[in-house]
Amino acid sequence: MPKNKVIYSSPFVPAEWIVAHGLLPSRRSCMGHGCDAPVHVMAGVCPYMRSFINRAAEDSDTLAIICATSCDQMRRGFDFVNLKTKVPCFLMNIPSSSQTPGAYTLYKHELERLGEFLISIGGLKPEPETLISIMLDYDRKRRELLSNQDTMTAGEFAQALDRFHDTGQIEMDHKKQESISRNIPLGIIGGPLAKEYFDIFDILADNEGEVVVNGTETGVRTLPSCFDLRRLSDEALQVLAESYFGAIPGIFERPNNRVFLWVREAVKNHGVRGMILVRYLWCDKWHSEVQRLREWLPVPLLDIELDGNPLDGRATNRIQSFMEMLQ
Amino acid sequence: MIELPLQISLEQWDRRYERLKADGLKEPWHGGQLSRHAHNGDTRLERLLFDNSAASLNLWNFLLTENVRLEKARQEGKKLIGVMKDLGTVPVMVYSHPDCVAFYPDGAWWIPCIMESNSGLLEIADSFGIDDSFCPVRAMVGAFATGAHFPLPDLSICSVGATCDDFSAIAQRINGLGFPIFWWEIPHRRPPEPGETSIELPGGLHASFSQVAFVKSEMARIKYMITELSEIELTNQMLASGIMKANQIRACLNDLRQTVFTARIAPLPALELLIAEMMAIHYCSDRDEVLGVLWGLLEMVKRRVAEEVGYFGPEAVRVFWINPVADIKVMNVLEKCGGRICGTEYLFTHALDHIPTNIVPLEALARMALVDPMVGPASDRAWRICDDIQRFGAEAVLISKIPGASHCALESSLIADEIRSRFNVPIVEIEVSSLSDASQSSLEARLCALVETVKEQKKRNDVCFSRA
Repeated sequence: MPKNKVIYSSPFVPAEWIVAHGLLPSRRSCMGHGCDAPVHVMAGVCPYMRSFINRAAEDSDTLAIICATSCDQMRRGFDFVNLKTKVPCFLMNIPSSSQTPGAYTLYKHELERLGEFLISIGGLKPEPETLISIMLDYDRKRRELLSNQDTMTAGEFAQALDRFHDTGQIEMDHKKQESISRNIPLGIIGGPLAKEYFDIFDILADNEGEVVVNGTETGVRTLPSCFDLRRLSDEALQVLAESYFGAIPGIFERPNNRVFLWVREAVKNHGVRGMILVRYLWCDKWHSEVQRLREWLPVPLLDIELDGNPLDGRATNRIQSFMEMLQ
Repeated sequence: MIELPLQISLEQWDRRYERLKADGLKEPWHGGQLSRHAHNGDTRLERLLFDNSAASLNLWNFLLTENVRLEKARQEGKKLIGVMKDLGTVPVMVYSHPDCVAFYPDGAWWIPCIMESNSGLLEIADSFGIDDSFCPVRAMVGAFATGAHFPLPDLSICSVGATCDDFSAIAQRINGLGFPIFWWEIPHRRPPEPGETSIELPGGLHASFSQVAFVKSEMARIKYMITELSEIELTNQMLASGIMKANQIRACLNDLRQTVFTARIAPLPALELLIAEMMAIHYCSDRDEVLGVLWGLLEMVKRRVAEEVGYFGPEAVRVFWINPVADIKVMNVLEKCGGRICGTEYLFTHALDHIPTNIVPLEALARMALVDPMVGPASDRAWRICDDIQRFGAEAVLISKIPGASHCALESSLIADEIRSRFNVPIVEIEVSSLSDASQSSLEARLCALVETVKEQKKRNDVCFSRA
């Protein structure tokens, strides 16, 4: 299998930028099991990071891996790839103090540095027209995906988004329906929801719940905003930076009020009656906000910790109890 | 002739204190019997062994009266600035201003240890959703919430970016409780790439010009905030003078470390050296006084070395210690097991390096901030540790993991791998909670095993040598 994929997990890495360099982006959100290297340590280590790094390093089609500093464990994971494997790896500085002008400059500079890295592994220097046309293509696909959201179940939409992130293609294999009948409207927020955990949507549906807002790191919260078409021809990279870094609210931001505002708006706009937080074991950034979210949200919150293993009976029971409480 | 060094208990210190006073001991205002701190709640002191010198007494009294100094500074109209996470950079700026005083709310991580279970800080942190899966620095949440352990700062400044997640999360939680924080960005340090201008940093590492320029702009934001708060401009001249003073303190500490680590017989126990090293970060809230405290200690240590007196004899196993411990009692335990400190890396080597004085102050500070061992890759940290292991002749390495810290789980194994690849020294990893009494016997067993391993190796080498 040819090594042609640039693997990453952070929503702050623009797929358009990788495609513009003639390479294949693949934003992964799967756990994968059985890979114990290069991150061999387990105690105190986020199961998602460990799984992402180990699987990406092992996959035969991996050309390079991109890690982001927005998660300290991912930053440390980069050290493991760098020291223990020969896979080219790039660590992208995603500023945490995102609401300062300096942070914007740093992010844009990091995009340029990423470009140099992509060229060093065989990518091509992008022509401005190429970048613009790719940006427009991705913009259109994202809009198409979002416009179909109401005709899919939450699980189907999560699958479609996952495929789009992984391949850049839209494949909606659902049977088109005019409108899905909604049960109790729910929101789901948290870190990246690996597709191994997509059964949570079925468990919720079995208990008369329907996720109407997917605010996990792999959901709609982390989609970039639409590009400013008026400025695209003159400053495409700047527009790209603004639509990603300027628009995606991250829990790692300091202060992280944008995430809280996003969640509150989502609850209000979609009539959400209950919120589910999914976070990985050892993910301090989401864990530390559980109580604040409870205080902030006008609806009940169910906190589910994921340890890298499939959802067990205890988690299912807790979901059932939560749904009973909402009925 | 000087009095022989001896580790004594708190009770013994009281008796010794009376004798010293009778002999004419002169003390600064913070002086007095050590036991008064235990009576005021710092009960862990009752379980520690202390160096018996007047210089060490002065060190302890200085450390344990920080809050009095902070209150005094506030009464004098000075602004109190709580500095978080960066461990040594921003205080240099704050103390450059005549009307500002810096302290580290992070220091609250030792309160549950020093006050044992009396502080209740960890329970308060629990109640705010910051449970024991976080690093013990979560005690800071309780300290802010109660306002009982340090005066609430007029301004809090916290570094973010390439920092540990647990600290960032805890600081954000504090922010969420209504305590405003000024955040500044420290990017992950990386080596310059081809085509980028390389800048040498203190300690010998390199960073790209663009990274240094970015951090310099962040330093300028902090400078602006200090000026705004104090309503008196923090000038470059003030900063240059502040850097000079910081360098004096660093030079003194480096002399102290070098003297202690390389002495044939340890002239100072591990516990007092740890406390002294910590002074580099923020001067324990009195930049002028700290120099006097450290000079006193250095003078005493040099006297002991000259007279060949000290602790544990030359046979004590020379141990390099990585990361600070949440329970300071463990420093005593190492010595009980037959080890002595011979090199340390407590996560703030950048606070010990000489700050460049031949460039503009903000750039000098930016370069310093970028050398923070937490900011760069584990391999850089390991490289510096290995250099020091060689320089100080360490025979064993102890990695003390901080429970719940996002970095320890991952970087410890990488650092250990690098050390193993370069030296044939045994390495042991321990994890120390704020109160380690319950795990004392297993900690002791691990430390004794480390010491015994080195002693066995030495014996075998001696036999081989004599046979040869």
